[in-house]
Amino acid sequence: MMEEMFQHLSFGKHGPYVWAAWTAAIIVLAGIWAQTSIAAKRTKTALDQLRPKRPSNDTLVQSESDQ
Amino acid sequence: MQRPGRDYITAMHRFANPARFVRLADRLLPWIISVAVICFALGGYFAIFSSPADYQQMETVRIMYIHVPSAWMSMLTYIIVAVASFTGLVWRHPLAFLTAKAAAPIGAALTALTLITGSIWGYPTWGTWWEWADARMTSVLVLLFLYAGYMAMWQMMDDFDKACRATSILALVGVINIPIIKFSVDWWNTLHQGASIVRSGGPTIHSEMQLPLFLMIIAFHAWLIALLLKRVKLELDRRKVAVMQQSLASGLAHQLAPAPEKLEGQ
Repeated sequence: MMEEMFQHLSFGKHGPYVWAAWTAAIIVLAGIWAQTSIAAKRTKTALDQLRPKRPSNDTLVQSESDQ
Repeated sequence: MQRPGRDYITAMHRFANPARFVRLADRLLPWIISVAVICFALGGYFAIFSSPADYQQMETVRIMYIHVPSAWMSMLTYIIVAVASFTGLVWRHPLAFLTAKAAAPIGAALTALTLITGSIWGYPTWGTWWEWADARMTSVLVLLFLYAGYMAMWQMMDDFDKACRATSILALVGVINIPIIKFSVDWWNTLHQGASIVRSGGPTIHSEMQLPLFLMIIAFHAWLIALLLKRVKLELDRRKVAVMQQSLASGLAHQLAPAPEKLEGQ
């Protein structure tokens, strides 16, 4: 059963061409998806750093005690 | 009486609002991604395991299930770039320009995939990886160059408004290549075979091969829409970062510059 499956998946003498094309497709489709996700994450981080920060509760308590 | 196409224009103006667009995209994305994953899994299974080999192409026919959808999507993406550029030029919506900018890398990747898979299919079938005299191959290569030129133009220009105008003009000029790609097999004597799916007498491919091809076409469509939504959101965020950095830099320059009265006193 397994042997038949492997036999089928080898696709005879054309196997390397079929698998090369499918591998290229997976690399390209997944690659640009991953690149977009990483870029989105980095841009979100940059955006958060640029946004004016509100003082946290600790900072407020500290400044009140200084006064 | 309402003019035809009025509803489309009203809807377009409604979703040109970035905040509304992001809300809609966030709601749609999980559904579209699910459709893409399911169709890729089913289409991949049928294409690899259950579809028969072709009597002429033999097992290399399995490359068609990725080559045909990627070729269609590469052209569709260019049409998206051109329509978005036209919309941006006419109605001055920044979101339209950003949509065109976001679509270009996807189109370039799909065009590259079309050329790679076509070349891998061509060698065992035609005995050559590439044929310069073939109008279909060279016109698809021109499409890849158009995408590259479009993206390079965005990279080169610092001024956002100028970049929007220049890239839009390039996108609109390049759209002439789309009918050339589509009809190249009819207009010229090419090595590439003629249309076998979208043609006036119906598809000529075997019904057992139609199901995986149909599933893969849906999967590629869903993948393209999902990735485009993600990339438009990314471009919106990048634009926000650029504007904030600019305003920070101009504020800093204002603080560092000596006051005019001080300069006069010296």
